[in-house]
Amino acid sequence: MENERILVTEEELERLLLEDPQFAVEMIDADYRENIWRYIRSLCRYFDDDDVHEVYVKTLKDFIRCVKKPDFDPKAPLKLVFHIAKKRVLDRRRAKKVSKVPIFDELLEHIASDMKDTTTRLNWLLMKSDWPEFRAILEKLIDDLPEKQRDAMNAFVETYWEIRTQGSMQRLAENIRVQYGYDCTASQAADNVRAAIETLEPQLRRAGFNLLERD
Amino acid sequence: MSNNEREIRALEAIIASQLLRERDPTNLADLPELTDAQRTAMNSVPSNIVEQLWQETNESDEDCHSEETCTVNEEEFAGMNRAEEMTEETRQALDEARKEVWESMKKRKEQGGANS
Repeated sequence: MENERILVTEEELERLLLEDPQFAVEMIDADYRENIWRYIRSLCRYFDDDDVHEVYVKTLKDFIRCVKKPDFDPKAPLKLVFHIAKKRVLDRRRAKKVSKVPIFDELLEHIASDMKDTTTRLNWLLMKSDWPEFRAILEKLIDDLPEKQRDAMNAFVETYWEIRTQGSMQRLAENIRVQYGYDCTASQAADNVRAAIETLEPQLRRAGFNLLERD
Repeated sequence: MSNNEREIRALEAIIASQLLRERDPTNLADLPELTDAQRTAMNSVPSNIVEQLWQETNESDEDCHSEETCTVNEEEFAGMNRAEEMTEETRQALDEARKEVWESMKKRKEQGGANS
């Protein structure tokens, strides 16, 4: 259904920004609100609806400020909107004391090391073309986890880089306390991540993603 | 570390890598789905939000983020708007449908609001 939507294009917006800039921004809100909203959500696993709402409104405000500048260049307006959204997400992450976003290339080293010489990695490579479907199902399954497992899983993803570089689950426990407001030890946090994996794995298998091989 | 531990760690790495990678914001299929509650929150943003913000926003506002905000570098979102392969017929049908949407939006605008 989603790909049947007819949306105003980047080129049409460029033209409209010159003719009627307010209407152009209204078109972006009408056609791309869901994209922006879901994009903001994808950039921080701790965001609740108020966070996303605030970032969305700030994004529109900043975009309007740019549009009102006398030297505004209307080229690639959607790219600019998503760029602004990302910047405002970073502000919000800082305000919520969320760890800095690691550079993905820096993560790859740890990811590669964790996957090295495992059957799980081979299974993963075999299902390459199903990655987007895997992500969609995984997101939904995490949302449906029992609360503490879900919190631990979200914190685990957000702190994966720190956990692996520091070789400790301490940051995971600290993030759970700061973001979700309850105390837990590093060991309890690690147990909750493991419990989440134990819940997710059979569900993923039932959905056709048979990744994990055990003895 | 046991073999089982290593396999579980590999699965954790797959999960983390898939959820931390940058998404294509123009492709809804690449973005996390919203729950019903999240969708309700999104739809609660007033339909005239742009009109309100337009009136209260000046380009000279103190907290305006100049260059850093209003400039986007070439590499960012490089994968955005990847042209899908489509036939001329599909392209024409899309153009016509888009034109209809365009006209209807303009009409709505003339009637006093961009969203309804």
